[in-house]
Amino acid sequence: MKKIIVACSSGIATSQTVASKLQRMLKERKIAARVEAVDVKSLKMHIKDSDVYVKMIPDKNTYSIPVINGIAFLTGIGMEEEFNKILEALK
Amino acid sequence: MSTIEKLLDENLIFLNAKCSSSKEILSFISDKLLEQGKVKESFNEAIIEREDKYPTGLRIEPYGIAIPHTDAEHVISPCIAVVRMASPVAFVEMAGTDQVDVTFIFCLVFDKSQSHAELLGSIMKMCTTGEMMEQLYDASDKVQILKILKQFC
Repeated sequence: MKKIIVACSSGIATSQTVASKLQRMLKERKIAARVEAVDVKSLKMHIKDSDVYVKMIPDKNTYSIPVINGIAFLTGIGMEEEFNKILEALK
Repeated sequence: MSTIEKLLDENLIFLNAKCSSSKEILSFISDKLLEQGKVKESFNEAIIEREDKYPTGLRIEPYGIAIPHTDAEHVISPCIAVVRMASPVAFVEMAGTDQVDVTFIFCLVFDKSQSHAELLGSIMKMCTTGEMMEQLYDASDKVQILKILKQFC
């Protein structure tokens, strides 16, 4: 199954909030993918087996997978657009 | 009473705060929280350091907000401090480097017993309710602010 990771500093507050939201949106569209909230320390480890990285922290690094800015899922502003980027990346 | 309501307190609402930097306002909030026995002394440095590394400014209309928070180890008693700036103060936008002009700060003081994601989700819902933000902006005192927050949470 495709895997999406959401990272913030602690892997708790912002990343879990956004991860829940993403999981709901995927479920609504019947898309099979799992979403995991991770902390910044374990990011590199998770990137290896993930398909999309949603960041809640400033991160200018390039990775082997697409990086999406996650604040749209926190505020709801521009959310659909960002979600479509994720869907594209999961194809 | 909802979980958010339990974390709100008239003594943790500050209006017309006048600070010229995010660091200053975070120190102001930390001092008040320390005074009221909500946080340990380490909170002040921790929250400023965290904001520096992992900014929490959010560009919401009509008023920018910030949701500073830090690790549970610095917390004694969970609560939410609410600040309305007299004039917007610059915070860095979350997950980025752009500046956000922040009028409302919701300092989240959570320990390990809270469901952080649930609380944050509710706060975000409230803060993206334009009607609530306008009312908060026009509110004349702490009592009113508390009333409005309770109404929308």
